[in-house]
Amino acid sequence: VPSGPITEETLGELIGRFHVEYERRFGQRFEYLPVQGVTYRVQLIVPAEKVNYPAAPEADDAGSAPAPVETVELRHLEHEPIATPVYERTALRRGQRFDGPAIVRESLATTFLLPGQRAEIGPLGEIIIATVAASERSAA
Amino acid sequence: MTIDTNQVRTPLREMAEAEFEHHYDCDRFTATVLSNRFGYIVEHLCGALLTTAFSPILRDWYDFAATVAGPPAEDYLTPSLSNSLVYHAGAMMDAVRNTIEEFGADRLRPGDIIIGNDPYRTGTHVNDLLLCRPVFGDGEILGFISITAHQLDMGGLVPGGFSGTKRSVFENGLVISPRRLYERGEPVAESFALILDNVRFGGVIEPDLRNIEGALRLGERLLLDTVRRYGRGAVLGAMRYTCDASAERIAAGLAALGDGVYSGEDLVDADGLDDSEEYRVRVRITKRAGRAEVDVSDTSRQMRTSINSSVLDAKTAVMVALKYLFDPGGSFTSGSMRPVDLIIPEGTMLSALPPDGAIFLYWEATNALLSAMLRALAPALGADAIAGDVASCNIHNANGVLADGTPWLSGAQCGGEHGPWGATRHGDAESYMSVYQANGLDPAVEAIEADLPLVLMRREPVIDSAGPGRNRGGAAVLKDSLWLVPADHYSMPLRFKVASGFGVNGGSDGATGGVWYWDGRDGAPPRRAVDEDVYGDATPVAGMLDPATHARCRDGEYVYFARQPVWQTRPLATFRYITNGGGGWGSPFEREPERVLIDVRDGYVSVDAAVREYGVVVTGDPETAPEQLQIDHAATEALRRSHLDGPR
Repeated sequence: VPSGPITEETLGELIGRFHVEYERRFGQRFEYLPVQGVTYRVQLIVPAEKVNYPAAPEADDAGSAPAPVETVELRHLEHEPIATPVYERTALRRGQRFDGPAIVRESLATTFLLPGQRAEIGPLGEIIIATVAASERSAA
Repeated sequence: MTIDTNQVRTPLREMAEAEFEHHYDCDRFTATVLSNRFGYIVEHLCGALLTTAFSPILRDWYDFAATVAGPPAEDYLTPSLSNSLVYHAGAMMDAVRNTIEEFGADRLRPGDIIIGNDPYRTGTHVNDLLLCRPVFGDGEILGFISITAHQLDMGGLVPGGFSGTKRSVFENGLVISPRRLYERGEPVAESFALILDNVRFGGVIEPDLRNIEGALRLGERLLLDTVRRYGRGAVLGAMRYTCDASAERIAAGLAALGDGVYSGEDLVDADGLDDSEEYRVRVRITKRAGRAEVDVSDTSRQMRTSINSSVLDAKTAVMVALKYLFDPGGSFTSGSMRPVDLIIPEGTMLSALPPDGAIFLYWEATNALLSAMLRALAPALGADAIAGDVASCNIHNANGVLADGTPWLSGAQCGGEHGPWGATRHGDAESYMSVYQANGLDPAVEAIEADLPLVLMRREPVIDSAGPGRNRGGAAVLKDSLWLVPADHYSMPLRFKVASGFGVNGGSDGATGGVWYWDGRDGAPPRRAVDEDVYGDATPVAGMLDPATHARCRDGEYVYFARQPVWQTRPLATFRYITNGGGGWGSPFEREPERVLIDVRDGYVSVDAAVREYGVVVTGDPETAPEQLQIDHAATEALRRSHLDGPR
């Protein structure tokens, strides 16, 4: 795409370049056929306030698992159904830790931990998920 | 009949290296490498055409095929066919030879492309244009790179051509005898004009012809590169090796089957003139050692309308049946047919003659031949038999003109073009496939709706339509299309009278399908797809249907698809297609109850049919609590035991 504002002339130039590139790749030139734009990739730069990352409140019980809001049964993951705790994202506190299988719900997303994965809540409330060795897994 | 059981040749596996090199002018390893290379060449140039094609039938259906063929001195032997439309590929083995021999091999020059589309010379139908490029090395023809590609239109009475109601070659479309489309790399203006003056949608066809030329040029470059690296002798030797290997594998498969005479038949429901006549393919296979004679002499006369095939297409069907049954892992080449003689008189539905034996829906005739072959050999093959598929392409074509005057055409997108396969010893069959001989792509719903004034409302499997078996057939497919503007429709379902999805090895048949439409806004489509009571106010188009309710019914009356050649609808009409179901393999009463339970959960089998067809008692409601379904093991065991003790 030629730099600057998109005008009738630059569109003409763009279509001309398309035919050159098409001929280079496929050995044919179809100048009499209309060109249809199907995929557009647009990059925008907008000035914005600096993002502020507030620290997450610290847990009283750092290192242990939060209280689940409910327990559900997962099917088709393994041969037998698995009882799985469900956590609410907004209730999670820094330093809490829990093992998969687990489900974390929030208003626009769901995070799912497989068996053998461990989540730890970081300083900003982020969920850090790591695979844990079988020997380290908690009996819970 | 003479049967040559004295194979003079040493089998390939046992051949000493010196003897191998004597036959094939290269060592065994090089022959294998080159054999794969021929396959790579055709796939690569097909990929190039698929990427560049404008026509939806090429771009979205993959309705084309490519071959590499040897020179005239090697009788145009064909070691590689692309993994696309098998109908094309089979016919192309003879089409290239017929076209070049008629044109004259000595008239060819580097950069030429020879074309032809006459079904009686090149197989399939007039829309399938063969483009054939000789490849020269040191002034000699090394071989040919060819593509047969379906053109969106080839003239004739019906836009797009798809119709079973045309009555002669004069209604069918433009016939092109062998001639140059390119001469020494330059387009031949009068050949382009001949085509473009006689077809609709030339604006798509012209650039596609140029794209095909580009793909052939790519194929030529790849073949020349191969000859440069390995030498002409090795390349030709490897072509002979590849064809000999497939001949040997088919012969070995035949040899493992007991000697005998095997008969089978299947039918096309009617032709496009009236439903007074059924068209039966009758096949009689005489098998001795590693050879077979396939005799179709008792097949019905040629149809009065355009549903016939040529001899070349009949040959393809015979080869595909043998390949499926005896050499599923090998290559399909011009050697595949070598152990087989095909006996076929002139003027049958499989060997139609011009001008009255019009050929368009050739696959419907040859699919019946494939079914008859599979049926004939099923008892002898036992557990190795293959059950029947959807068998008809149930093509739906429609066309019209938009309010601004723009013509539009939907070709082979909105009928029952895809459907189930039959089961085999290896497992349950898929439900949404091309028929056994096609191997096309499925046009994307998004592309269809973006291009045309229609919406696809439903495309789903039909409960209790799959042929029961220890391995289950694929389920029938239901498809609803909503047409936003007035339209002329051509509906071509041809296999509803008899279950084409026949069961094998103790398996049961699949259900048969039907076609209906509801016209205009008043006839808005019913909300529930699977209820059998929704067809009362529909216009039945085809199927074995109950005269009062229009629902599918095995003992119903045959409703004839072409009692109107063209179905005209108002805006917002809905067409519904239900295909046939695929056949089952093995006794359904031996199917593991757990697999029946999963079918009930997934909506392939109802609770009632689980009892009736499989002897499995499932408790619970699959609609409201699919995960709580249970097998009643005691009741199942009792039911299956009583089934073993007495007839069902």
